[in-house]
Amino acid sequence: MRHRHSLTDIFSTFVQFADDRFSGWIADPKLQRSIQTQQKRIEESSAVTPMPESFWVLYWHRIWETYAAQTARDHLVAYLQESCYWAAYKTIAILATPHYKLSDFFQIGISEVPKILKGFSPDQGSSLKAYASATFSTAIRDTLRQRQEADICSDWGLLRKISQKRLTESLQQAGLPPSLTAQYVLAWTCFRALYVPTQITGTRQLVRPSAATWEAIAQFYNDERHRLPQETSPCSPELLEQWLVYCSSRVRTYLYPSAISLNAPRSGIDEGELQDDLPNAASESLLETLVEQEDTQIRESQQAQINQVLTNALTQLDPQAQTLLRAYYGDGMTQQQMAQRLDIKQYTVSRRLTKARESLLLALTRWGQKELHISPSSDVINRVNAVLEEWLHGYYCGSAAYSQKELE
Amino acid sequence: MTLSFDTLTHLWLEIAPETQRECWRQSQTLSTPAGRWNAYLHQLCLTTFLQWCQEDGKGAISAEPTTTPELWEIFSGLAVTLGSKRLILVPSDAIDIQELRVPQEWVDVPAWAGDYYLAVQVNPDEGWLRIWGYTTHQALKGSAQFDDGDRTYILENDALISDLNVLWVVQHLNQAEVTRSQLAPLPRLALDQLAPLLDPVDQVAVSNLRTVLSFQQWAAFLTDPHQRSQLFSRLSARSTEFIPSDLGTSTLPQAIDAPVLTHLSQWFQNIFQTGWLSLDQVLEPNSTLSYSFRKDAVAGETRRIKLLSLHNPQDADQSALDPSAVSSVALLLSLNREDDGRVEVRAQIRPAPGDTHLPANLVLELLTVAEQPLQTVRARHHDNYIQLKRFKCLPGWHFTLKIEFNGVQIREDFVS
Repeated sequence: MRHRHSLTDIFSTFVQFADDRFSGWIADPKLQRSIQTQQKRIEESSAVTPMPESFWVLYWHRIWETYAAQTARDHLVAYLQESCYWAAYKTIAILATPHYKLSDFFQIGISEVPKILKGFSPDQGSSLKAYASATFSTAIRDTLRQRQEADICSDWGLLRKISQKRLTESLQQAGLPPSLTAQYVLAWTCFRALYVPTQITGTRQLVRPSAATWEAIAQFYNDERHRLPQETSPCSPELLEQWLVYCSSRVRTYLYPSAISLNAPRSGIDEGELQDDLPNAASESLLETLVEQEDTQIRESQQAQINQVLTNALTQLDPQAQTLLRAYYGDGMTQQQMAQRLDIKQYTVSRRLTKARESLLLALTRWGQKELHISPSSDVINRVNAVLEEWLHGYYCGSAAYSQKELE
Repeated sequence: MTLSFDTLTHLWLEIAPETQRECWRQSQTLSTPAGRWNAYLHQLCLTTFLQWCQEDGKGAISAEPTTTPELWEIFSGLAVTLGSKRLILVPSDAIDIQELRVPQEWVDVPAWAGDYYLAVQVNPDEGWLRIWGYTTHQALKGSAQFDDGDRTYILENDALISDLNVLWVVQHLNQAEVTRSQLAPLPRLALDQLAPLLDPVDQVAVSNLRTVLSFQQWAAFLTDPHQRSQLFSRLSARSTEFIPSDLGTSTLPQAIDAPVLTHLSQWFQNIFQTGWLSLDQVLEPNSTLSYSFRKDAVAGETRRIKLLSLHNPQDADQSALDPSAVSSVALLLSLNREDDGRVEVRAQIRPAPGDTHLPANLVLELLTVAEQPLQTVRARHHDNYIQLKRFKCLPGWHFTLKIEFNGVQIREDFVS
């Protein structure tokens, strides 16, 4: 994979795949213009010479947060292309099976960007790239787990194993109108209430409900349909079954999205520049504030202290915990691989890793309480935890040089 | 497959096969297939989580009174107490973890509301569960979407804190964290207002009922012990009609000789099950037992006593050989009803009338419905009584007192 060097490229180009391999960067002209305009503004308004990459991440994130500006989001999607590519690449390498496609994994990862932007908090001096990397691999692994599970489920088993939100989204994606979606979801609720596993395990292979069960489900549906937003006619057991079979197939399709619009660079046609997205004056004043706030020294000294606190806390952990952390964060091993290598149960691996991270989190939060006077509430500690995760990734990966050199 | 689970920020716990069998057995007492399945998931969740907390030293943790299987016929959620905080666990067997749905009861009924809400995914096929996020009552009230249709508060995955480690660190550093939104007290509906509401119950489907009544009416039923038990007995009668034939019977054997369930709420109406006697029926007026037990009596307390035989049928001759061997003890329960509807229970084992000491090593244990031990006390030499720490139950809580001595086990099951 060829690296992007210019700021413009970093914030306006997208990975292109050919034969399931990286084939090049493709530019989005609208994003190109947008970043160039902003750069020019800075050069005109401030004495500081080109602002670093990290500044622009902060800037676009703030714009996205404040104005829900789509252009800002797209800049960050472009920015995160490489992190996502490497997360997908590593996961494929670890799995070592021919069933999966790199581009598919990449798509799963990149569709998580909105969630990443929501969860990311720049105030703690953390980097979006590192935060995103962790989320990309988690999302890819979790989606795979769901697909495997769905693949071995019968239609009826699968229908019992999805959330209402997942079902609703699957139906919406299939283009079902809202009124029908509501009916199908209600039918599904009735199905779930009346058709349940009757064995201790084996919930995946549920067989088709009997005629009597369909009758009961239909009756239940008809009793409940007054709850629907609009008037509907009664539903027969046969129709109800058709609906549910349809639901099940939509849910499967939804697990294998064909393409994700997020990563499709727009064609040359202008559909609105950043200026249309948000008030010009507002973005300008935000830019100025950020330029003023950009105090690299404070940021760096804080980073150094965090590094010190965590390195100390790490040495207090027992050797096995340290080994596990290195294997997980540094070598990207799965917990199952670690379990095999150390000849312990996977749950034990998971437990020890969790315990080790808890004591690091405690140390870091205590430091934050003392030095930064943070108040240890759930939300604040959650952000501290993101800083910790990121630090662990960085610490064991040797500033990411490992992954890219090894794998290139 | 190499990636059955791997997301480190979630807490993954193994469900032991014997836990699965036991939880399944317990869930089979419920009347509908859906209730049984839901209860099974909840009990897996409860047992596994409590066990993990104990092993991992998360502090004093116990199942909460409201955690009662019959609720799981109707809606999800269970409560545990961790130190001074109340945790509501909401298990689901969905393969995706896109949303947490919390039934309104756990949020808007003041006595039921929790501090923290934990989203739990249970996979009985592979024998694991994972806690994939938590939130606070405040966050639920503040930013959750409310679904009128099934009365649930819904939070999407990314609105939750995914790493339970965060909660443990909060517990370390900030036990006083503000977690709750203010709730308006529910209006108290008088009993005579409630009773007529039950009549149409017979006309509607089971799971419908929760939404046919207004939330306030429904909550009044749930929080009034008497009304609640009435309601549940009608529900179970009604629900049998709704079981499709392919689901009607369980494939596993039912529990053998199910012990009698003692309804403590009825004691306040002066209804007592066989064997539970007044103190005067058992004790001579001036006995030491009578005295000491009366001395610390509290006004308004209801007390009953039951004599339990420690006789082991397998060594029938023993008592004949050793006339001094203790053959029975007395289980004493004192109940006190609190203003909020909870019942405070004091449980003691005393020597039977005529004896002065308990046999050493006699054990009294308090168990949850999931057979999770909450408290244990063991008699030493010459103890003249042993007692559990007082505990409080919300209406409808199931618990068991187990008395063990010399290979004999006696169980008494209660619902408050």
